[in-house]
Amino acid sequence: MDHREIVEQGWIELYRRGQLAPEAEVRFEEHFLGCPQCQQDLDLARSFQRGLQAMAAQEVARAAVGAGLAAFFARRSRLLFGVAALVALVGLSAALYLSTARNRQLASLAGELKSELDERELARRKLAQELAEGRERSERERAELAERIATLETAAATGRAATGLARPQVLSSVYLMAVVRGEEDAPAAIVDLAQTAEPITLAVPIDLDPRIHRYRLTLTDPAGRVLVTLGDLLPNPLETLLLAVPGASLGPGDHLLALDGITPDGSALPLERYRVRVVGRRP
Amino acid sequence: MARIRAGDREAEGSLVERFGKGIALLLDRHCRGGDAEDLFQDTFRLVIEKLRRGELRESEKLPAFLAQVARSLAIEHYRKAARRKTEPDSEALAFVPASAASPLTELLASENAALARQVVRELGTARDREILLRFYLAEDDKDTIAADHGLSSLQFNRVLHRARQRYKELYLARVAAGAGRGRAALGALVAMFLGLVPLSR
Repeated sequence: MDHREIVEQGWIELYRRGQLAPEAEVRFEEHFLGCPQCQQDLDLARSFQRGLQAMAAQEVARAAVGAGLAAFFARRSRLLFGVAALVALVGLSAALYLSTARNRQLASLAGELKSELDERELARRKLAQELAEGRERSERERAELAERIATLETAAATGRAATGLARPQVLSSVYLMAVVRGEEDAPAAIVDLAQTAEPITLAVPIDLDPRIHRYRLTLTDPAGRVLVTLGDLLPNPLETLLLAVPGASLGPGDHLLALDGITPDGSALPLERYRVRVVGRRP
Repeated sequence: MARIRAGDREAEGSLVERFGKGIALLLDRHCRGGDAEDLFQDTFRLVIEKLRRGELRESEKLPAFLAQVARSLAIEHYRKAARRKTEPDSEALAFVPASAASPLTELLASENAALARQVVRELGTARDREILLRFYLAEDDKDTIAADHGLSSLQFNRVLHRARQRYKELYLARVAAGAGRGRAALGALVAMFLGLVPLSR
């Protein structure tokens, strides 16, 4: 005897209702004595039926109480019945009034919720549109930049071909501004003037942000004087801004390189601050 | 079985633990009211006596043996009851107080009724509700109900299956919640016993 047969043939219910043939009943009893699954199904079926019976009994009891109350009032005098009817009428009216008031309140609440939902949907659409426009603008600018770089590279190649130069014209020391998480106070770069070539190039990595239209770099010396400010900058295809400064303009000490983002409405958002430590002297 | 033959009480306990639920279900099917509880004890007493005497030696025949003993006891019980049956004295019975169920039994029955009510309420259609109530309460024949609603046997079984599954989920959730409440109550009791919480506030 297997479970598929038991389930498909509905043996659990047939057994409980005493509708199995005697021989089948004996076989099934011998099976389920050693079968926890069948025992659980039988137990649940029994419990379910008892639950339904208890439910039905409760309904009958409620109906009986209602009928008893009605009979009680019917036995009383007309006056008492009238009073009871009046009380019932007042109660019913109050219930109706409360129900109507509650309905009105619910309807008003539903209206408020709907208008709030509409507003949120509108804001969401607007934001999505702005985001899409920002992405489109960014893509366009990236394409323009790539085109400019290609033009410059072509021009440089042409120049090299014309002058016959096979190596770069400028030897530069490049310092990548990098802040190690947890060591924000440490300098992002240490420039040793005794060992650097000219010019000194500070490379600032950019995390592209759709809110930002242009970037600005400001370098200040240890005394807080602004050495150089470059605005209206766009990152190169490596998503980096490059600032080249002559080594002679730098003195020893910690300089501050500030990176700000410029939004389309012209306001500046501070993005990063890097410390550039200058040591040594020009030979 | 050999251990029971040797008089090992622990083995007898294991026998009851292993087959107790099945025998209870079997007796529940064959008995009415509280008779099943009495016959449950009689069944195991009789089976253990027979095993001690070595009347059964093949362990694979034990489930059939147990079922046979339980069935025989139930049949015998109702045969004797039928012989003792007399006409009831309706006047005297009017003064006999109804045997009240224990508060725990009432609580469980009430919870069970709530689960069943939820299942009935959640059934998709009035047709399904009617099928369920006719089958379980009126105990109408399955084929008759199915024919009245133009359902095949498979479709009919599906309606019952869905309802039973939902009941099973609710029932198991209640059992799990009950276990949680039990643990919390036990914890509170232990805390009280250890003096961590005052007995009264």
